[in-house]
Amino acid sequence: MNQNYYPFSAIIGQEAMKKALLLNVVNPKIGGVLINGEKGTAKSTAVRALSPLIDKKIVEMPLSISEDRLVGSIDMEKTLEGGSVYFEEGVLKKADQNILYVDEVNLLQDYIIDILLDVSANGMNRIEREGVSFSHQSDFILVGTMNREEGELRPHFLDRFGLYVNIQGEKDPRVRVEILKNRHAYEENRQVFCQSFRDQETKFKGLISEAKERMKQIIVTEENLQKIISLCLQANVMGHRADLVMEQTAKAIAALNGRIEINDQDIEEAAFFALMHRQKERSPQQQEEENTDSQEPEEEPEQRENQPELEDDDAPSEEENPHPEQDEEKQSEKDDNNKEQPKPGKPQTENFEIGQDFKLKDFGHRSDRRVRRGQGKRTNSRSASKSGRYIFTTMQRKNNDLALDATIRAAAPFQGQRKSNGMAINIREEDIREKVRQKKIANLLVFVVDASGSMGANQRMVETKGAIMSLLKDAYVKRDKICLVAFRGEEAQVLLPPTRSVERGYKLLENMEIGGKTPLNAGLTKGIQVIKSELKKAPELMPMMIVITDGKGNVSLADDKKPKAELFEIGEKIREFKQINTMVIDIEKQGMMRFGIAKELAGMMNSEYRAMDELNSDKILTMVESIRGTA
Amino acid sequence: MTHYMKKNMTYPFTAIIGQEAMKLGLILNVIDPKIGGVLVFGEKGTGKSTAVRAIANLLPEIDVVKDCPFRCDPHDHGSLCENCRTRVKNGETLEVVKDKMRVVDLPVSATEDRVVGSLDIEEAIQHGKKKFDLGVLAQANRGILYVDEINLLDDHIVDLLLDSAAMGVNTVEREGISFSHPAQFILVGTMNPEEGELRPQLLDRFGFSVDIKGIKDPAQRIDIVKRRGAFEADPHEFLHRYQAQETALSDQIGKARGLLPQVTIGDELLLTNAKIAIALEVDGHRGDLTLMKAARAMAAFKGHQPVDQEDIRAVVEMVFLHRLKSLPFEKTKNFNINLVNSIIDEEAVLLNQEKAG
Repeated sequence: MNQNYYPFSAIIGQEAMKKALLLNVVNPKIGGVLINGEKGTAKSTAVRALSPLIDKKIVEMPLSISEDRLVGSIDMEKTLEGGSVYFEEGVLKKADQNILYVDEVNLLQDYIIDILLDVSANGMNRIEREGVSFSHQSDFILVGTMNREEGELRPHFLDRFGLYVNIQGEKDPRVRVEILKNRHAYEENRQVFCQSFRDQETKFKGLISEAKERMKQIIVTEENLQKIISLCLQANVMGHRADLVMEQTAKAIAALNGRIEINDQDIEEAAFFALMHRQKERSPQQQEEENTDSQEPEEEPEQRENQPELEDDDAPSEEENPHPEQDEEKQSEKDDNNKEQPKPGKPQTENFEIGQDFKLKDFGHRSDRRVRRGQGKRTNSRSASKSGRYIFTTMQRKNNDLALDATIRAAAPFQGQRKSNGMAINIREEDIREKVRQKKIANLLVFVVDASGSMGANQRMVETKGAIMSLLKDAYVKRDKICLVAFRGEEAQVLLPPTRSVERGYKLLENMEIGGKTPLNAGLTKGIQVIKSELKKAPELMPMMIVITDGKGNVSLADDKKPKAELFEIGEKIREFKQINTMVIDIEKQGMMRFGIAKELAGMMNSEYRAMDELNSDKILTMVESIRGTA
Repeated sequence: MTHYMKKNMTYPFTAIIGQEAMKLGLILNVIDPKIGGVLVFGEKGTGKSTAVRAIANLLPEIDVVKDCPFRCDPHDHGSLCENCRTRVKNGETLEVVKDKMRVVDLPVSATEDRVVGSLDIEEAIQHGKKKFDLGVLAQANRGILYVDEINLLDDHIVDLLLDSAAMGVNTVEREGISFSHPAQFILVGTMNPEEGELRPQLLDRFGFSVDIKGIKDPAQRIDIVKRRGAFEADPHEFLHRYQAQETALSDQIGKARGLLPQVTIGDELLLTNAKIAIALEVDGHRGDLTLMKAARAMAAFKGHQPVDQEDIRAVVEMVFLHRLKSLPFEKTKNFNINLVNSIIDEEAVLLNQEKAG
């Protein structure tokens, strides 16, 4: 199809993105770029727009690509005709000496990422499969675009990208109008629009080729290198790739600026592109939060202390009561009268920062060799059923899940030698290949969190947020899906629908406000509802509901039921769901008197139970892991 | 008997009571398919699929290339499939037949194979040839692709759908096949948000969304039941009764399609448009673009040009409803119509002042 790509020079704004792309074109040794930004900000458009400006091709890799198409496979047609093996090139071959572009790179399947990492490290694609051994050069500029709200990239993969830019939509309405007009004119008549930018495009082309020419003469001085190293050290980046990338980037910047010497500004500009995503021990999300000068969540214990005091004055009277069960109504009445009761109109809420998270680093690397989990990727389970994505083939026969294409490919080379059996192709037992399929998700952690007013007492929310944060971080490493349900006031709400984006979880957690009554029953019901509908999508899912509560619910779902009686009814029902594992984290404070409702609920639901007070990292971890183990 | 009838008769679009936003959304998409489809939030049994089928039935028949599996448009040589293009190149004249716009259903259980197409296994075995077995995207070319409960589809399949809808092309790179064909369709998805969300990235790529509810007004509900009864009792008579209205609407849409290329929109309204997007704090620029397209389609539908404030007002909620970011414990789909109206009015006042001055 005759493509009239949107002209590069017609893209308004997004200078950093355009620069990063140009730098890579001028100097392919930079090693590609990762563009992160909100949806609809011309990320893909910019990448595609490069195409007419350069002598390289832009090879797009669709998310749904199969391993065959990526690395290449036997050309069935030719092999059948010729009787000897013909290799059909995959995307990696096409990308050699070109640009490999992956949109939504953060959503790529893990096994595809592994291949990309391997190939980009060696510059070679080696194929050992179906009786063929073959290899070819595959040296490409990797360009990825993504929206990090939807999931993160593994740090290892992140490091593969030479540069990183973060972009946003334009905030000036007048500029937006210009963008709109250009885009519309383009959509109305691509040919005419592209024609009108022809001169500018030609100019750009000239600029690029001049800069490329100049690249050859650029001298990197000792001082340049020292500056580079010192910036890298300052930024606390991992490995040595950053140094190399910085050097190459600074060269390209100087070349684009029409110089053959590199100056300090060039190097500082290079740092802007090359260092952000490489800083050690911090995920890019944290860096960003620093950049937007939000406070470090762990380091402000002083502030927390003054908030809950009022609440404390009320608390003892509750605890003095020796018969909590009988006084349930009284208690809920009391809560109603508390200051936490929402005022009409805007509910009164408070916000607490996230408490110290427990260090969960050593957790969960225990290997699990059950078939459904396969290859140590917790979230990806090899499915024994015939559903799931077809990822590659095996000679092992156990599922009766024939991979016809691979079978034919396996049989093809031997057709010349085998006698015809009347069919076009003679397939023997040993040719038969089965599909290996992969299911995307294995674990779903649903957090059901109390966000009622009483959470303000004794830093309970701070600790709770800390506990959730540790679990979120773990979920990120394991690539589990997470979901956040909070209950407060009259209702429960799914704050975060099931997602892998820990970043979104983190932001929501940070902004989660508390206040109002405690509709625990609604919370549990909502949590179960989410799990049920996820199970509908993926029956092999291993869901786990983590309920964080003191059990003192004071709102029932049905008007004619008492909250606690109803709670236990719900607990009973949840117990019957054998597929759902539950865990209760009791946030009721240790004291002379405890109501112990959360504990009772845990018993009712057959859940793991822990009190927040006795919690530390190991305990949560062992608990989560043991539940997962029994799933 | 009635069952047989129902299969062959489509309930008239103009006889559908209520659900105005959804009906308008569909009409505007038909006028300008580049708007990008409609996502319908709502309960079951609210006539979503009826409306979709009805609009396809309402429209006049389209010209298609005879025997072309993609039903290529013989008059638009830019979007022909490979086969038709070769035929044109070889000097063949493409034979034209008339056909109704199609509605293709995509079941939630659909696999990627079925959506994008796959290798024809029989052909591969018997003749050792790679032949492509067409998928749903091929069938949907130049029609409506209807996906009930789209939120329950696998994410990567929704991705594929939106990709094709945006590009107008389905590109297949898998299982040793590399193939592409035209896939221009209006995507209509329905979902009940309580049963799971769609990723925001996917939401953003829908042109419109509408939130429909069962009708609460008893009198209207009685009307709905009565009409449905009348239709099922004697569909012929019922269709006959609505014939004039159907034709009128069909003509109006036809005219609007013709007018659309000439509809302009002034800079001041584009600025209003951008200010709305900024005020609503939506991500990126897709919302702006959709709002402009939708306002133009609306003006064309009303038969005037250039676009005026009222055109924007009529479509703005559909454009932004699903693009709003939701905050914890604020009602998710809370579209601030007052904010939007005040921006539109403010700009209108400024404009009038300019004109007067």
